[in-house]
Amino acid sequence: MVVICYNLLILVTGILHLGYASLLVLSMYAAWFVLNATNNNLILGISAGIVSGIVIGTVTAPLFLPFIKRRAILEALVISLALGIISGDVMSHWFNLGLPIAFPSSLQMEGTTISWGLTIIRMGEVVTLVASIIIVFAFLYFLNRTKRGRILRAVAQDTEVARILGISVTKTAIFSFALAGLLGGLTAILFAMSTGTASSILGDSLVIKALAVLFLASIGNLRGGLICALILGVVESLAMGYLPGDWTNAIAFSVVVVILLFKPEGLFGEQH
Amino acid sequence: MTQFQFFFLEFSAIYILLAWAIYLPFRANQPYFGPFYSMCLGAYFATYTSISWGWPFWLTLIGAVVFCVLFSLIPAFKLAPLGGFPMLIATMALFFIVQTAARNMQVLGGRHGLFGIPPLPPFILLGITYGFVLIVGFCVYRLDNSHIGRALDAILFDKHVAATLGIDIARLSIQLQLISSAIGALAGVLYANTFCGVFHEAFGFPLILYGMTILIFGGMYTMWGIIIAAPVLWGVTQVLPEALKAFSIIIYGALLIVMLLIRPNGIIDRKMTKAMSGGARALLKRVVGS
Repeated sequence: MVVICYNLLILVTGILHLGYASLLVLSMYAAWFVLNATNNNLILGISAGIVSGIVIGTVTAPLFLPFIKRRAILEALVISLALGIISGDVMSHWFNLGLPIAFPSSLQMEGTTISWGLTIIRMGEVVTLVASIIIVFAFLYFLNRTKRGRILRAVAQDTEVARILGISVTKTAIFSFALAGLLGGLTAILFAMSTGTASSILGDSLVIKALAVLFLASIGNLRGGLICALILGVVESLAMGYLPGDWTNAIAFSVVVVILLFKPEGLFGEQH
Repeated sequence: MTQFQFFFLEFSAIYILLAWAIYLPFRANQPYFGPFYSMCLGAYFATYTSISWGWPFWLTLIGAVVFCVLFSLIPAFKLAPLGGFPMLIATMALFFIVQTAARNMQVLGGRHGLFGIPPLPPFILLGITYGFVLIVGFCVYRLDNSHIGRALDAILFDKHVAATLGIDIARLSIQLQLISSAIGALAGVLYANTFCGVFHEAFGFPLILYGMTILIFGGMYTMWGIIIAAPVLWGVTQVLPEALKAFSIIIYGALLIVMLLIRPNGIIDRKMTKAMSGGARALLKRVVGS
């Protein structure tokens, strides 16, 4: 889901939003804050996560608009980096004394498990998986079958032609930020359900993995992204199991470097 | 000299060197983050060789620069034709690979860092650092005002036009990457000698933020803004009240965003340097004439 959001932002706005993952984690913090304040009211907590995702996405969009119009990719990237670092710092200073946060066990449905042979899966993980699949399919349906989705695809394909056809590129860019925010909010909740914790540095680790999958699969390739995410997940698990220390991020970044240097179009991309 | 004054002067100079290292490839629209990993590699190289092998300062410096140039040479040939997004992401990824390796390798001190370089007297270290600032500054100035500088301008304006004019963009990019890495390594060695050691946390996202803020705040397309931006930005966070010091990263980030939005060319841009050099020339003429 994170990779889908990155693809959406890159294709529609031309921006590689390095701070997006940190903003997503900020939504997790917003959900945690409301859960704490409302004595673990799940509906309010989940709503806070989703709404904060949309609000963060929409509020930060105007910062990028001048650069989207000028196609100043580098400046936009630096702004996104700054936003990510600011949100990381806000989380490490203003929430829970900078300590990692823990979500209530009721959100993860900890009491309920599904046993299958030797495998025991928590209900929270099953819900996360099912909800992720539903959200991805709903997003693909929206992208392919609705008028708004077709507008997004038109802008992603060719901004100039879309403009000539009467599509407002600025409005579409703001909409894509809001949509990425909505998906980010939903991802934040699903992340909280499956992991149960979050910390201010989670965003850094997420962005590393998202970039690895993005470049491995080639930008814009959703199906390739899914396969590459699975490959990267397996490689990381093996690294965690067999290598001493914490090399997972280095492995994800090595994948990025090797792909960019030797196959810049990605595994599933076409050579131009 | 107080410790604050020493650190202020030393770090201002180190960040000036680092920002010049980033500035050079940026002149040709090449977002190359090699100076960041070169700084990290240079610092670790100098610390390790000094502690484990007893190398003197000058040998560690030469060794670190050669090592970083060789390290940067490997990806340089592949990075040169890429440019833009891929170059930025690949070099950023290399930076984090180097940082992760430093954090996980016990021989480099792991999570605790590596300390124990024999300290240089503060005045000598400052003298060496500012000597390098003058040398590197002179070289960057000469490069800016040579046919290479004009070639970089042409690439910045339009790389296709530049290629049509016979400029070998890939070759120039490789050369810039190597020069940039050498300056980055130099900054790293001086950084390690200032602290008498090195610690992996010094090389993370905040370092990228500092470097980019200095470059963008000072002015991306001239070398002069950096000289003002580095001491101002480092100094501002040091003189903040204790309660606000913890928010220095937020202040840097906010400053970076505001500068990019309201004055994307930085505090000193090309127009300003031209006007200033024109004014200086007129003043000189008047003085000589009278």
